[in-house]
This record gives sequence, structure tokens and C-alpha cells, in this order.
Amino acid sequence: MAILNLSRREFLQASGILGTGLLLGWRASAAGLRNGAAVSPLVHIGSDGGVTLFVERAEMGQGVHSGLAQLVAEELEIDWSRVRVENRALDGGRPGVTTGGSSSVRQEWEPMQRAGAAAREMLVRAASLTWKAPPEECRASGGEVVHGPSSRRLGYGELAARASELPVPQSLELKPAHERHLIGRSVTRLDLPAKVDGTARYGMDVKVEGMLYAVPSMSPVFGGELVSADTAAALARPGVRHVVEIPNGLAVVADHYWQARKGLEALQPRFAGGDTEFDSRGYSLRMRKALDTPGVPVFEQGNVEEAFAGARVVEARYEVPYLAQACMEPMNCTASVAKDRCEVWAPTQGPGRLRDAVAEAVGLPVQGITVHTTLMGGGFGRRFEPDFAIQAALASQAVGRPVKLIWSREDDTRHAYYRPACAAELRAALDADGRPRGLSQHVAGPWPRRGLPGWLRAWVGDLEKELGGPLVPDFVPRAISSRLPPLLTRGVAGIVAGGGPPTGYSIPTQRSEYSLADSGVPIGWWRSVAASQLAFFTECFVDELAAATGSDPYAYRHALASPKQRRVLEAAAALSDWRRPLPAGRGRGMALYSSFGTTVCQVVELASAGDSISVEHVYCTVDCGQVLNPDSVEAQMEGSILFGLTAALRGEITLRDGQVEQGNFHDYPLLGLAEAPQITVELLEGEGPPQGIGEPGTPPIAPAVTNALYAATGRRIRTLPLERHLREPSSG
Amino acid sequence: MLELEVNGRLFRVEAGPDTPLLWVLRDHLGLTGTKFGCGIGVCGSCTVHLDGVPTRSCQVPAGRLGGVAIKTIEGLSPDRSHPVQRAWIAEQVPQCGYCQAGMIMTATALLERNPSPADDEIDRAMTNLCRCGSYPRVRRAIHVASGEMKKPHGDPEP
Repeated sequence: MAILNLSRREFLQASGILGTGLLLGWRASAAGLRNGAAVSPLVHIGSDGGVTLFVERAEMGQGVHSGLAQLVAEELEIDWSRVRVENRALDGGRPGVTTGGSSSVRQEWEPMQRAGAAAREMLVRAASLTWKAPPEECRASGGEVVHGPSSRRLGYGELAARASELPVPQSLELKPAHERHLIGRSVTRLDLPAKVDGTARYGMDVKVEGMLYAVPSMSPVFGGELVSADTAAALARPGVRHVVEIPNGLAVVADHYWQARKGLEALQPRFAGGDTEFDSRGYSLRMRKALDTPGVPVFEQGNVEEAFAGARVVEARYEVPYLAQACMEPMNCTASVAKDRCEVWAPTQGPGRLRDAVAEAVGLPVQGITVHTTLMGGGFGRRFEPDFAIQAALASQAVGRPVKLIWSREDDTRHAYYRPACAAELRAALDADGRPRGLSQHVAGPWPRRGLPGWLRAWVGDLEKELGGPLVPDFVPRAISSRLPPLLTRGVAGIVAGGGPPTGYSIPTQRSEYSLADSGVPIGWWRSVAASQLAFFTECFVDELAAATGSDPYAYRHALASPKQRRVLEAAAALSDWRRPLPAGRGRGMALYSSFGTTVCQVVELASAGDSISVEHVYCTVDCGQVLNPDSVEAQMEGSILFGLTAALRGEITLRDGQVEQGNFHDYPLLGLAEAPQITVELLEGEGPPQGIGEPGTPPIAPAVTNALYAATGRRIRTLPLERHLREPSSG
Repeated sequence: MLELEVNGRLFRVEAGPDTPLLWVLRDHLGLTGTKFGCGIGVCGSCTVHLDGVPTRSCQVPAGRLGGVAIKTIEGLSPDRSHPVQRAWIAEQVPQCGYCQAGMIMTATALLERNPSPADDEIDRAMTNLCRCGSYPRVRRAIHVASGEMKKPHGDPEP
């Protein structure tokens, strides 16, 4: 992307910058141009020497704001503490940037450094012009340019105005790795001071002049509709001003939040319709039944049928439940809708999608809508969805004032877009040495239409209705579907069954299939997405293969692993002292998994007595390519492990009579500090481009714990969550 | 009309006496550092000090707090200089940060009562929930802050 000099007044003003200075940015995509918004600001150097970085990626705890600043600052040669990061509002119909898929640093690695280098070169050039000295004699360091021979110095602030009149250099050279002083260092995160003194502003903390507060009332059954409500009783409560319609429900609007809540208590809404029959036990049976007939091929490599002929076959079935993301900050959004424009403040991972959805809901063109992405109290995939913003915008439009709409924890738990429940059958054909020569994975679960482009969703939806069933499983014979573009096979099955080979091990033939077990429960993205269940299936299964052949789980994996995996695996064995014997009642288990470009191996040590599990230590080794901020990677691994461990031990969303049974942290409990294991992380010296860090630490923990439980107790639990199924003797 | 003493100042607030303190702090006084997480007193994001005792403010009706000294994250120090705040930054504890005001309020109360808590004492006191998984760092930071607080006042940094 070409870097542009945007130091003209109109751009500065449009970026909310007071005064002058050097402003660099880049051209938005072609779509952005069509919509009349040509450029995006990126980095500003003010006449006071302060540096502001404008980003569109959202900060939800992963440290992305600091990470991007670190990349720019590396080349710009500035004092780390002088950098300020701002989320740029999405306006003018520009395309939005999403934050997810552990992609931010991977995608911005080079562009951010190039922008920093461009600004630096312009500042150096401005100094050389000022001093009438050759540019080769001038160098940038610590926020100033120094003239070598004369030791004269000028700060960036003093040079910004002159630099702003120069063209952006055509060719830019980035520093060689050995000259870097910020990339690869554990610099202090920029967002933390505001997070320890209460000044950090999350979506929940937005305040807009004249705003009212709203709380929603939504159908407890997915797809249900409002039948009646005692609106008058709600309106009679102090402070309650309006009761307005939102999709499938109502919102109570009051002067203050607590008044709106009290109004909601009086509302007594009745809902009807939707799939009131749905229950989790029945769904589990349906998923398992779906595994009894052949699925739709998602991936095939080599001739799996042949590999199975005459071989010793090991097979096992696994199952995982629906899971909610449970961000600490419940869904919320503040909206101000006027006749011809609308402003939205939202903790969102997908401002573009949110903007489009709000535009459609309130009937305004996208150009009239501005989305301010706020800090987020967690995201974990949930905040890609625009549902809560639609509610806020409709409420504001209905009452003609700005409205902050806040979900309760119960709303948040019962109206998530869940990690899909799914069941899987894994089969392996072993050769004479006990190595798999063929492996097949068959996953049954809900059909993930979501994530496809809108027109395709609609088209597929229409076809589905006509056919009375989903497109790919019923309509396309295997011979054809295996040749279809990935959008229709991988894309469709991706969030449930993944798209590639079931394992990354060198197994000559592998196959992956998918079967539909229909469900009206909304599904979506949950930290690490499909890898969260697929790693559980395959890494438990590989452990079972090791057990079936009397092999050590480490040695068995080692024989199958690629060189990259092997390095991570060996490091984990060394870090955890894998061969050290453990006393009775304790066990050690491992899992190795690659996702989002990163390979992670985890070894779990736990103690189990009766039906209790105490996870004591998690060892984690990581190869995520070049490391931007080692401490941030460690923090992400710690967080991913605890997120995945909560799910593995006790995470479960169940439905009965079509309603989610859990509501709050007492029945959808999180792991607490007292239960958190010791975590030891080792980052391997990585080469090559940086890879994802926000998610890859989650997938291995569930199988590592399950395998450790087997080592400790001899019980092989194949259905999550472990704590419940350990109590049920029939499980496994 | 309620009268509340928050961070050493007296406020008169027009709110029903059954309004939980959390919402009076957030909506009426603009002290939004105290967070709403669960509304049932489990997660601890809304923890404040009532006469020095860490308390889930979503569970306390504001009408019962006459004469009680309320302290929120905003009142902990004017400049993030409280040893717990400093330790929180030194150990890079927060991720999303949403639960951290509550964590910090619980930790400061713990250290006031017990300047050198052992790990099991930290386990018992720190019942706040964090979804990002900051627990290992919370534990570390409490030990660091404890060490800082035991140093004689005014000691130069080593």
C-alpha cells in the first residue's frame, strides 16, 4: 500500500488533529474510493513532538494497540512513552477492518514498519535541508535527528512542519533484525495505565449528551416472537420513558439504567414460537446418529479406503457442548440516530459489518453512519455480531434521543453466538508398527451458514428451503462436492469441521467428513473457532492410538511430527521433564496443535481423586515465528490456556425446552484464581513472518488435560466438560 | 435524595434508595471505573471499599450507605502511585482490563489487612473473576506490591 503525505489542513481536521504537523496515511481500498473516502490517516507527529497512531484494529486485551505502535516506533526511532494510540472512527462508507483470526500483527507487520520508516526519512530529510548538510550525515534517534559531524540536534516536533512539505520517499529500507531495539522486546503496554486507575473507557462507559438507558427483553427461545407485554406497568415505574420494539422483543428505556431494569421487571413479556422442543440430550443423540451414515467430504488426501483394508482399526467417538464467550463486559452499545445520520459507539470486532447492519435497521445509507470502536472488555469472537448494536440504534431512533443499551449477564449468556456443539468419530488404520497409515475424521454438528457473503447466504438459504435441507450434504454427491470450490465445502463446514487435513502429522492418507445435525441455536466464533473442538478430537485420539499400541504419547507423536512440530514437542518434553515419574493419583498428558500459523505444545500435570480434578501445572512451548513482544505472547498463552481450561473442565451451555439453561457465573462458572494452575511458557526462537498469538494457545489444553486425566486415573473421558462426565460413570 | 461519601467527598444524589451503589457510582456520579459484570455479586468487577472492606457494589443498596466511607478505583491514588497500581503495571497484569479495577480494590484491601499474604491467603481473598486469564500475574503483582509496601517510606529505588 502506498504511503501518502496527508499533512494538509483538511486531512488533519478530518482526523481530529488540532494544530499542524506531519501526517502520513494511506489510500483506502478501491471500494473506499468509490464511497468517497479516499485516504486513512496513520501516524501524526505534532509540533510538540507527540506521536499519535491511528488504528482501526480493536483493543480487547490482546495488546494490539501497543503491538502496532511498537512496529511503527521501531522504524520511526521515537521514545516509546511518547506514543499515543487512537481508534479511528469508521465513517464515510469506508470498508471496515475486523479484529479477529489472530491476524492483526500478521497483516500489519510490514505496512506499519514502512509507515514508520517513511516518517523517519522525511524528518531526516527536513533536518538535512535545515542544516544544509548531506542526509547521510544525519540520523534519527530517540525522537530527534542528530547531525553526526557537528552533533547538532533537532527534535521531531521542531522538524514536523518542514517534513510535512516533503514528498514521501519512493523506496524505503527496513532495518535488519539485528538493529531493532523495540521489536522482540517486552516493552510496557501503552493501554495499561488507564486500566489500573479507572480511566479506560469501554463501550459500557460511553456517555453522550442527553442519552437515555435501555435494557432489552428478548425471546428466551431462539426464533420466538413477542406475544404480549404489560407495557403500561413498565411505563408506570419511575424514570421509565418508553417501551420500544426491537427484533424479537422489546427494550425498556429510562433516565437511568436501574430504572430501566425495574421497568423490565414489570413488563412481564410473553413469547411464543421458535424451536421449543430443542434439548441438548436429544441433540446429542441426533449428532451421534448423524455419524452413523457417511458425511460430506471436506478433505481427502490419498486413498483412505485402501489404507483401511485389512488394517488394524482403532476408533473412538467424542463430543463437545455449546459454549458461550462470556466476555466480562456484557454486550452493550450506545447509538444516536438522527434523521439523516447515525453515530454508534460500540465495543465491536467488526465495525464494518456492524455499520452495515445498523444502516439496514434504521434505513440510512452507510455513508451516513459513523462507528466509534471502543475498548472492549473481552471479545473472543462474540463481538463480531452486530445484534446488540441494531437494538441500540432502533431504540434511539424510536425515542429520538441517544440511547445506551446494556445487556444483563443473563442476556449475554442466553443470547450468544455459541461455539457449536459437535460430535466426531475418529478412525485410524494402523500398520504393523502401530503407526497410522490412514486416518479419518467425521464431524457432525450444526450447519454454519454464517460467514458467507450475504448474497450467497441468501441464495443458499433459498435453495435450502426448496430442497428441504442443507445444500451441500443433501444435494451434492461426494464425487462432485470434493471438487467444489472451498467456499462451498471448507467454507460451509469450516467452523464445525475445519477445512484441511484432520491432523498435521505425516499420515499417508487422511480424510475429513461432515454431517449435518440441524439446530436453530445461533453459532459463531469462539476463541480459536473450530480448532477448539478439532484439537480435542484428534489430540485425544492420537493419545488413544499411543495407548492402543503400548507407546509413550510423546514418542508416538514424535514419530509422526513434522520438523517444525518436533522442535516444539521436544521443547515441551524438556520443559516439563516428561519422563520424570509421578506419584499415584497424578498424571501427565500432552497435546500438540498448530493453528493460525502457530504451533503450540502443552503438557499438563494434574492430580485426581474421586471425581475431582486439580490441574497443577501447564507447560507450554510455542513457535509463532518472529516475536514482536515476548511478554505479550506469554500473556496470550496464559490467557488462552485458562480460557480453554475453563471450558474443558466445566464449560457447557445446555438447552431445555428450547431455552438456554445457564444464565450467570454461578451456573456458567469460570475458573477462579485459586484454581488456576501454574503456567510455564517457553517461546522458541522463531524464524519467518510473525504468526497468530491470540488463539493458538487454546486448542491444545482440553486434550492435554483429558490425556493427563487418563494417565492419572485410567479413565478416558471423551465428552466435555470433564468435571461432569467424570461424575457420570457411563461417560467415556 | 441520598447522601454518599465517595473518595472523601460528599455527594447528594437523586436516586431511589434501592438503587445498587454500582449504578449510583456509574450513572449518577460518573465514576465509571467500577464495572458491571454479573449483577449477582459473583464476578467482583464492581468491588469497592466500604469503610475499608472490599464489597461487591452491585449488591448494596445505595440508601443504606449514609455515614459509610466509600472508596472506588478513582480514589485509590491521584496519580497511579499506589503500590498495587504500580505493581499491576510492572507485572503487566491487565489484558482487556475490564475486571481489573475490582481486582485492584480487592488486592489493596487484602494488603491493608495482611501486608504479607501467603499464596493460600491470596487464593481465599481474590475471588474476583477474570476471563482473560490474568490470575498468574495478579498473584505475582500482589507479592510485588507487598514487598514494596513493606519498604520503609521514602526509600530510594535500588
